[in-house]
Amino acid sequence: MDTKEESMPKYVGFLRGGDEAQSQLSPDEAQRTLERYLAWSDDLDRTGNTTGGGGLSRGGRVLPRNGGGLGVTDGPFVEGTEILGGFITLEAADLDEAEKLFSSHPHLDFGVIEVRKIGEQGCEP
Amino acid sequence: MRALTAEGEGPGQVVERLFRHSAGRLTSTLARALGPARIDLVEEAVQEALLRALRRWPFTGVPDNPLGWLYQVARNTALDLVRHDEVVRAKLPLLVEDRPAGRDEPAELADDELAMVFLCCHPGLPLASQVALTLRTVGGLGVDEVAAALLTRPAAVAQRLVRAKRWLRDHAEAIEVPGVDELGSRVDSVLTVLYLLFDAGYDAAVGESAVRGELCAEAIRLTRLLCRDPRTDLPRVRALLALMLLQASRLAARTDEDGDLRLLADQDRGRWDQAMITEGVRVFASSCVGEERSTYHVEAAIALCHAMAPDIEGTDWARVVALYDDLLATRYSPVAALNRAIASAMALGPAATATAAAELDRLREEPALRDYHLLPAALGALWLRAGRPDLAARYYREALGKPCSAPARRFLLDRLEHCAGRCPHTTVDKPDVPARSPDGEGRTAT
Repeated sequence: MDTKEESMPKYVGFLRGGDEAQSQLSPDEAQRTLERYLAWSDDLDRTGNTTGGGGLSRGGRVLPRNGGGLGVTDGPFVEGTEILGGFITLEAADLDEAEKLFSSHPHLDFGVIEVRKIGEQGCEP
Repeated sequence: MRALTAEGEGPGQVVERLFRHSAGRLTSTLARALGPARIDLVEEAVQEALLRALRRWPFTGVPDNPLGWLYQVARNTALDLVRHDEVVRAKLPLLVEDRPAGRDEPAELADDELAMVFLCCHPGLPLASQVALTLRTVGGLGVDEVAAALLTRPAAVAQRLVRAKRWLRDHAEAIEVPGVDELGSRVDSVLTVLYLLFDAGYDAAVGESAVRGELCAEAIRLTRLLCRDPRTDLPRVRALLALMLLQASRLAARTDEDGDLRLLADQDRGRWDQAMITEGVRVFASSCVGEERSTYHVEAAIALCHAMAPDIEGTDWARVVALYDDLLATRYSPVAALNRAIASAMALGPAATATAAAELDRLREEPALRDYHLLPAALGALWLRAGRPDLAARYYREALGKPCSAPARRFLLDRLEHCAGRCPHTTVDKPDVPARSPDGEGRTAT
């Protein structure tokens, strides 16, 4: 039931932060949160907006600049509130619609979502 | 982005209580391997597993064997955590052994849980700590939920848990179901906790948290666990299970659509859970083997009187009174005495109101009942039935001055209005509560 146009632009929402708040949840609360995440994606699937997404490991590696001297180190080196937990891509007419769609995501109870357009050419308004 | 949900589940649905039950099982299994001194570490590992699931499953879907998935993550996290601890390294082999991820192993997991229940209910811990620890570790409740269930502040529960875990670290031997020689005393301690657990959930008159309704189910589940193990399948364990089943059969009928309390007399008996009653009767019969006749037997017999009665008038009140006398003879409790007085008023009818009122009045001297709103409420009901709404109103107003929950308050206000309408009420308002102590801490009726 994809009623959207073929050429609808894709947007990505980076789910940031929330670790601290989520680690305080009781098992029941954590499950209810998971169910809300799942239901959100399900709703967007039904309206034909969701295209994908993925989780990210909490740690990773930071590569040094070539010739930077130090070797590869564990990262990321960011504040807890900025840690990237996952991303979701969806189709929307424009950034406003993408923002509107993401604004109902339950992750916003714990952290922030950064919305970006995918495949930006650099010359759009 | 499909396949978000396990097969057979509705959209956005995960098996009900999956996280909570998994948390209890994983904690039991890991704590048994690592020893009671490391419950904190185990809790951290289990919490991490749930958090990982919360971060991953929205994108990958719920795995086919969620418990196995959670177990792997919790185990790996625990391994990671103890790698930095030289002392615990020695214990690692216990955890290295791989548990098949395919299916869960009910027998082994149940054994871990049983062992954990015995540890949490260690008689060396204060009773309130035993209850809190059982709810937190085996029941998988959060600290806030434990506090809501036990009507205390989360900070108090957290502190209690810290102290309990410290005590376990200093004293407890490995988590094992105790040997036959000490089983008797240890089982009684476990039964006390399970009784309180059930009671806290059953007494919907206090607190409105949804968690409380879950407590009955958890208490029944754990008592079943005891009944299933030949080492702990004792007559008094069966009697407690029968008591819980017979009481729980009325749970749905105890409140109306607005969550207000419905008295035994006003309950739609068609809404009593017949399957639960049938099982309760069967389990009760199986508990009556040998000589043993515990207070759980007597309480179950009282519950049976209610379950078998066609209506409030058709209840064998004389037998209920006799059973309460049995109970009181074994161990006196003011709340049981109150229930006996109410049953006696039902047995004697309105003609004996003065006698019944005198019996209740005597109980007003009891320090334990000083703040118990059900005592003046019972007196109010008695006088309302006797056609004295003026006297009744005075008692209901007194009851309203005692601490009680929002539903109980609404109920009392409703009765008060009833009195103002001077509409004589025909039955004694026997609040449908088990013989419990008002503070919910010291079990007085058994």
